[in-house]
Amino acid sequence: MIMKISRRAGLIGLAMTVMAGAVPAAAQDAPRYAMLVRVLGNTAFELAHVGAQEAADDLGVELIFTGPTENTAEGQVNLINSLIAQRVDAIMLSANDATALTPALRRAAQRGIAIVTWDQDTEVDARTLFIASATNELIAMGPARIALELADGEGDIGVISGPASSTTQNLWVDELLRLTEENPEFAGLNVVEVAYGDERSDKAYSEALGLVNKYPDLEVIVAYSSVAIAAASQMVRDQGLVGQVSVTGLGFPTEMVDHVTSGATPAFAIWNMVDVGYTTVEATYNLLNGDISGAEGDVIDAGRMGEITVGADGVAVMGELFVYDASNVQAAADLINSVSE
Amino acid sequence: MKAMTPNREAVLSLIIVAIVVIVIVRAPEFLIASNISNILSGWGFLAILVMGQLCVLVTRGIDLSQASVLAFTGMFLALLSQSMPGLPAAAFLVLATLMGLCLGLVNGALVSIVGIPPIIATLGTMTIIRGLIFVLSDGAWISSHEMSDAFKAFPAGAFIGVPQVFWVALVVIAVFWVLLNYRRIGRDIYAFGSNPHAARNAGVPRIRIELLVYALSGAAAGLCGYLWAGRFAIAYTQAAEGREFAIIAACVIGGISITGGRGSVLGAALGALFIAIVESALPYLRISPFLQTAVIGAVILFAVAANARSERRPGRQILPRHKQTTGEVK
Repeated sequence: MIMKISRRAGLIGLAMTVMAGAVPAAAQDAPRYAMLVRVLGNTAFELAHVGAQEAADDLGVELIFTGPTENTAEGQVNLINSLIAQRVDAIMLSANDATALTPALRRAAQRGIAIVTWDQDTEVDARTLFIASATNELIAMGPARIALELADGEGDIGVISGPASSTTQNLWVDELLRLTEENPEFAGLNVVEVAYGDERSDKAYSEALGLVNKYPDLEVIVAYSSVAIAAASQMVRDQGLVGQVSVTGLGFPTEMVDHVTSGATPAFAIWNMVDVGYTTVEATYNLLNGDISGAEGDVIDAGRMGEITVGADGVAVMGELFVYDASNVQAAADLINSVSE
Repeated sequence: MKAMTPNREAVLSLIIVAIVVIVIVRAPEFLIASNISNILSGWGFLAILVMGQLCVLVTRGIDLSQASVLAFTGMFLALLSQSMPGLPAAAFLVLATLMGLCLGLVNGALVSIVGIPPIIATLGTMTIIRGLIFVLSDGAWISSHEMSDAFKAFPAGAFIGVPQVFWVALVVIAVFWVLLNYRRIGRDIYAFGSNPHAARNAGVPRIRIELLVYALSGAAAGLCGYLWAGRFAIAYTQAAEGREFAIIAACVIGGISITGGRGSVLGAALGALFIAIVESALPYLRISPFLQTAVIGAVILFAVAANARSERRPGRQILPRHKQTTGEVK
């Protein structure tokens, strides 16, 4: 009996998810969108918050910004449950676990809450739309292009990822390896080793030092982690290797100013998180208004970001990474600082 | 004759030498000067933390909040250096130690005065302090260009080619060595840890001892917090998260008894050296990163087991042994 009821509830929920696009948001007050980040206290998410708030203000939406203090799936599940209880209209999340959140998200969907992921995706059927800042290939390609330039077309490069268990970071590394093997443009890059910095400054520092000591011909260190790129740059400066070994990768302008001006990191790439947050709210608004359903070929009207077409599996890709170097990093850092205050 | 009976420290030293030899055979570049200097600074950080933890463990306590205190102090001082760029490194060293000491006193008060079990009290402050870092920084990182030069110069610097962190650790070890071995309060700490009831009956002040050991542990963590933030030129919310494991592992390897009463400054310093060497050797050994944590765990278990064998006592003594007794009390 209980099985039957819950199954029926599930069916209703399923119907509601399908209809979520068609049913306009509750009309009483301003619709409430919850933005759920992987962990509080990360600059990337703070910036996404800035962009999301901008879009929310434009659209007259109330934005709830939240996230766990520790980067765990349990933390996010608890918050999803609490957001369900608060009856928000949409949950826009950067998932810290690809599978563990699925049951909680299904419960939310059953109650008619629209689920949109951004930055890091969940399982495809646990959400309607995924706003990808770039594809894994584009993310891998950003630092790879810079590395190619720093190594003058060919040379040994060492890679530092985050924790060995981090899905996304390692997907980027896999893409980089694939690019160097299959794409003739990147064939000159010889990846000597992939090390793991575990998002800890001291570990990443030791790993970077290890790379330099093990491979005397190393030309570039590519770090797919904002902790590792800073630690590797610090190592290069401490060891007086500026000019011999260059660091590049994914980093944030505010955190990299010193390393760029010192020459340790001549250039690095990152997606613009402000734009990601902005686009996510715009897309969610489209979805709840019934302008799009998340199907392939739907066109999102993303305000100042223009139009973005939804691809297969409800994935909407924003575009290529932005490159920062000595010419623009200080200005970008100042801008971000002024915006966040 | 004394050298014939192997003691913990000697066995541990041999294990460390054996590991270093194995690593060098497999990866000679392990011996490059820059790596040795990296090991010395890694050891320095750990050794300072371990000295504080040693005192707490000897009193049958545990301090899980050290890594949080480290991150909090690092963040606070980084912010301070941003707003007061004129402060000299000495001021940061003193402030960091004092700030850690105050945070440690909170732990001490919770344990000794409020009477909360140490593991719960410090688990609580561990999360609270970690949360406070977020409140303090608003979640932002303090990066290299936002810190004053004086702030970074000392921790990143070197004296006769050896990182400053190493020298600071030597001073800290000397202080703890004198405190625990040549001061009355040191003997009180051991007495209290061996048998709290007997110690109390003998007039050892429980509250004062517990306040002191947690304050020392906090002070060590605070000092480390400044050195850490300056060394890596970064202060962020998750700094040193999970380091508690390495600290306590170093203590256990160093022969410090989790049940209190036993543990030496030398053993603790060697335990820290063991962890520092194993951690820095992993990148050179090209061990699969998926296996690394398992390898560390296995090596630690092995070291503890080998170490424990060298000091196995034949049985538990129940009745007090009198001086005039000649035979074994069974």
